[in-house]
Amino acid sequence: MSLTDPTSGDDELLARYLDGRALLPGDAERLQAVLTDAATATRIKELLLVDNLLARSLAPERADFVNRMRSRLERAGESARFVSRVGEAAQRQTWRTRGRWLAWAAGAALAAGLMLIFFLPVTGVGVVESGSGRYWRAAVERPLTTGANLIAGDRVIAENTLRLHLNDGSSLTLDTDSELTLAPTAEVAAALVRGRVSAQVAKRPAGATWRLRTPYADVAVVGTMFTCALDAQGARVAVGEGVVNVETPHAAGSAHESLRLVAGEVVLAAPTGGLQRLPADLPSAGLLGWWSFDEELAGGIITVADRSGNGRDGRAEHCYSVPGIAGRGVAFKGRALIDAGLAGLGEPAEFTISLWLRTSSPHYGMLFSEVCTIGHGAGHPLHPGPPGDPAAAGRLSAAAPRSSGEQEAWLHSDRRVNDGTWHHACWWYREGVWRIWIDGQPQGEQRLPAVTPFDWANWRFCIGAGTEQMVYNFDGELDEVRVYGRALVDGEIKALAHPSGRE
Amino acid sequence: MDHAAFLELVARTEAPVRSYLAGIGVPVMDIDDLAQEAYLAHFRQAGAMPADADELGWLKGIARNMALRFFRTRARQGKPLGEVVELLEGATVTWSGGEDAQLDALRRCLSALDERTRAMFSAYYAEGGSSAAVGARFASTPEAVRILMLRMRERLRLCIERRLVAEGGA
Repeated sequence: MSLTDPTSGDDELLARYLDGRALLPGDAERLQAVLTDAATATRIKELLLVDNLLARSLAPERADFVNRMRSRLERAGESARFVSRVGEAAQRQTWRTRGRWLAWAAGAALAAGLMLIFFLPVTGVGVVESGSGRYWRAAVERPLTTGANLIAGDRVIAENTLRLHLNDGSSLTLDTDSELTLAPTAEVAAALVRGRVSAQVAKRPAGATWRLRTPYADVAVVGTMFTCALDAQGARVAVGEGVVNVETPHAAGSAHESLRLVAGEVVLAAPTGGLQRLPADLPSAGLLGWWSFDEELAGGIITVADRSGNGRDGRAEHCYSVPGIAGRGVAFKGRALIDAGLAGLGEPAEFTISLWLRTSSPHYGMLFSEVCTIGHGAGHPLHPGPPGDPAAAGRLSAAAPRSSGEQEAWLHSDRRVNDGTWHHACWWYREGVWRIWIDGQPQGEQRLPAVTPFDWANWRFCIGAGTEQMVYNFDGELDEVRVYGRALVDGEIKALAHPSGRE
Repeated sequence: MDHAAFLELVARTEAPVRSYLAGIGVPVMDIDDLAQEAYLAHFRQAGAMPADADELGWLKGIARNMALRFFRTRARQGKPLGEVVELLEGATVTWSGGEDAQLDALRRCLSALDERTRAMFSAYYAEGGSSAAVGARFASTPEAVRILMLRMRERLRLCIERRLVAEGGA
């Protein structure tokens, strides 16, 4: 029997099989029969592999397997710790009452332990002041309403804004869908599992700290107000008043970091990116997109989040994570590129592109281009030097948009940047004038001749590559790419180049 | 095994493990779940692997067991497909290059398809693999969608093969 003949009727069988294995009675047996032919079996296997490639390529969330695996691992770890706690509790109870329980089988003892944990002496840690949610206690989930008492080890999930009053006088406010465990250990007041919590911590005796645990760091507090949020980038701690010490976990094989935070924010990058103090004064007005590349990029196709809040998530292809200027950065080599997710932006009269780069390459490579343009031929490649011009090698450039057959008008930076160290680069455009900055220093200006207007209406910008043929790929590393729909003022560009708080 | 080392292993091997699961007939919508289960099982029993074992081969073995268990469950629901696993496993695919090369070839081959077909593929994989949903969206029947997608997958298969051969020989 062959599946190569469309008239054989077996195409329908194969079509059903490939469509989520939607087989009819008898199909499985027919499939087995056709698979005994080696050539047909190979063909079907190749079709299954095509199916897998299509799923990876067209459903981008499927590309992010490593990060999902990390989350799964963390959830499994929490579950294991919970089971371990229950087991220890069961053991304590067994010792206490062993005379009466000797007849019980080991499995029954564990089950009894699970039930009897309710009767163990427990420490009340607080009460629900307002809001509602759910909580897990001894493997049982229950609704959580105003006035409910909470004990150590309770895992609380907020269904709406949930305010908890703790016995020590502190209060915690959980955002909707946030989750934390209360007093998981004697030293830790709460452990944030996901979401965001705001804390107002009661005054402590001298030397006593109040500790919030996150997967990425502990926040040790001495009488203060602060907020801690977990997202894909890690944990973010913002201090309202007072002082917070933020520390990375003491883990074997990783450096321990500590940061004293008086005001502002700190990001604790996931999972081992260390501590980074966020500048408080970076410009945000007019921000069209901001890609910090803090995701773990390990080849393949992975979504990179737009942190501007505009939802312009990008698509990294064949990129790899490297230590960046803030958290992770991204390395480009070969066919790597990032579709920045910017499209349909009209004809801007002004804009600014800011990024950090590190390269040692003398070769031409595009940093930000129209590689993914949809049906548009003109462009404004911004890259270290036009091809074939040795004098421009290693310098940052900007080129005017051009009509077909016209020469590009180039602006080159005075300095070179291909020295293997991180540099901040900024391209600025307003009404026919280009400017370039390197590390906050202006690098020249050029008024462009009459030019084709920037037509971003049909563009889809790519970072790190030149054309659809994948030529002029950038060879180096990038981080913190920001695109503004306005021309920033000098002070704003300097702030981007010298963010406050950076060591 | 610590988390960092384990995640490094995942990053290094997830593509071939998932490709292996696809090649023995696990539906694409279930591949990620089974692969995750396989990795978790390996993480929990890292000591069970002989020191001289090939780690990818070991992982594929775990994934195979997960797949067989999956098919046994499905068989109880009237979908006896476990028997085809061995037949598919024995089939030889000679595509050159790793997954990156295959994805690259796929992307180029997809660009040669007409816009409507590309849109149908996108809808199919983005919406959980339902030919009924795609049919409703594109004013077609589920049966017609299945047949069209089979033909297009066939076209992509041949195109990918040609490109991989051309690039492998370049």
